[in-house]
This record gives sequence, structure tokens and C-alpha cells, in this order.
Amino acid sequence: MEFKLETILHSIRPKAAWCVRNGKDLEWRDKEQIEPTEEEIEEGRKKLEAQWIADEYKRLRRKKYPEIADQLDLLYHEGIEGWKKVIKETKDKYPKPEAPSE
Amino acid sequence: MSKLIVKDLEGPASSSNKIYIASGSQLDIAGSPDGASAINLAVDGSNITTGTITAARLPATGVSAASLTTGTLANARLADGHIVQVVSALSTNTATVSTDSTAWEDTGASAAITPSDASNKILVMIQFVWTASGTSDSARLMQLNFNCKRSISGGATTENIFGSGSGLSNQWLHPQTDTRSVGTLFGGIQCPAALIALDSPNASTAVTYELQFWNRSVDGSDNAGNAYQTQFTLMEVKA
Repeated sequence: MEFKLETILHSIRPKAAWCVRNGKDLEWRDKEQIEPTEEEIEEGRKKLEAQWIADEYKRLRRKKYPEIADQLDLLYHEGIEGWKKVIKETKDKYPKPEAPSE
Repeated sequence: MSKLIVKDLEGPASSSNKIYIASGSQLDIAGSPDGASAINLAVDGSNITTGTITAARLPATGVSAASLTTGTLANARLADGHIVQVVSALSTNTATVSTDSTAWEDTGASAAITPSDASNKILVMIQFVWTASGTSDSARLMQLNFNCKRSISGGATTENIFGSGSGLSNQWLHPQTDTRSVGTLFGGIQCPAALIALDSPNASTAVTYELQFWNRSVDGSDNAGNAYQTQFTLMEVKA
């Protein structure tokens, strides 16, 4: 996943005011937050990339879960246990990775 | 007055034979003195080597356009509404801002045309891609306005030349996507659009048109701007 400079800026300086020209030239406009250094931007990029990889299971699960209407129908006919059984199939298929040890 | 009547008048074999008419005299080919019908004078056009044929000698019905087989018709001779020249330019300059705009934002995407006459108009056509993305995980309404700035070389610079009433205005619902999973934005929305308007710059020096926008996000922290490429087509229209 390739992250644009705009995305990284939002990640490391939430709600800051700036203008990015031609995808690379940063024009800092915020009067409260300081402009990030190139090192900070690079670090922010790496964090986003790591987060993207860590969230892979979420994207896979979301594609696999039944539509909301189908889940409501499942709840009506099978009850909460029946619903949990179907949802668990997807969760087991795409398990949440364990957090890396500190 | 002496009178010479001959059937055929022919000089000796030579390419330099001439008939001289004294100054103040006239070679009358409209008709013979005894009132007979007019005669024709057949002269090859290439043999008319000096002088200018005056407008009075042209037919009252004008000259058929079919007779204009060479050369270029001057722009001044075109009828109103005709296209005098076309400029086509592609710009890859883009700009994205993160907060509400307080003035028109320059994108850097521009093209220039030099009108051949100050009274002519410019048909401005700008095709571009607008982009927007949010920083929250909720769906919401955003607004993004695009317009055009005109800069006349040696003259005035005017923003929002299409006027707020006729300027392009886009509204969209920010899409909810996987971006929420990491609490930041990965995509947002991008959409092609176009601005078309007839401008009257009243200039005969270079006129530059630049795409501008105004970000009006709901909470003042949504990205907006133009993306990829902007195609300009500028047509000078005779007026």
C-alpha cells in the first residue's frame, strides 16, 4: 500500500492546515502545530504501512461477513447463538494476529 | 485625323514587339467608332505586370469565394462566431488543502492564449478531476467549488471569472470505507468534472486561465483539491 503525503500528514498532524502541491511540495499553513520534518513524515509513512498490514484480517473479514439484512434474518430464525456460529466461521478463517511482544 | 483600317496587325517575329500609345491618348476597346458591337481584349493575367486593379473594377456582385484559391484570409475578415484559434494544453499541476479555504486556492494548472483582437471572446473549457477525502469515519456532506482565475499580461488579474452563480459547485457524501479501520484516510473520492464558459477578456496580450477551488468542509478538516491532470481547451471566437 502506497500512502500519499496528504494521508501521512493527517496521521501525524491531525486537523493541521496545509497545502500539498503536485503531491510532494508541502506548504505549511498551521499556526499552532509545527511543520513535520522529513524524518517524521517517513516515520509516519512506515507506521501507516505497518497498520495497513496488521489490519488485513479486518478487510478479509468484512468481505466475508453476510450482508446486514442477512444477519438480521439469521438472528430472527436462528437466534443469537445461531448468528454467533456463522460469524465465528469468518473470524476463525481470518484470525486476528497476535500483538507483537514488547 | 488619320485612320488605318487593317484586318490583322502583326509585327515581325520577335518577342519584343510593342504598340506605343502616346500619353493622354486612349486605346478604346469598348467598340469601334462606327458603333459596331464591343470587342474583347484577351490578355493573359500573367501579362498584367504593373499597377493595381481598383475595387471599382471588381464586379458589383463581389468575388466568389471559390476564386480565393491561395493565401490565408485575415482573421478580421471572418464573420462573428467563427473560431480564430485554438489552444490545447495539459497540466499536471495539482493542489490539495486540508482545511476550509479562506480565499480561492490556486491549483497551478493553467493555460494561456493571446487573442488576435481585443474584441474577440474566449471559450474556456477546463476538464479536471476533483478529489476529496475526510479525516473522520462518519459520512457527511462536503462542498467543493471550482472556478477560474484570469491573468492578463500587463493587465488585471481576476478571480472567480465565471461568477459564483455560474461556477461549478459539487456536493457529495463522504464515503465510508475501510479507511476507518486505521482511523485515517486512504482514498476518499475522485470524480471528473468540467468548467465551460465564454469569457470576454478585452485583451490582445497573453491571457492565462488557471483552475481554482474553494474547500468548504463541514468541520474544516477535510482534504480537497484537484488530482492527476487538467486539460485546457481555449478557443478564440470572432466577435
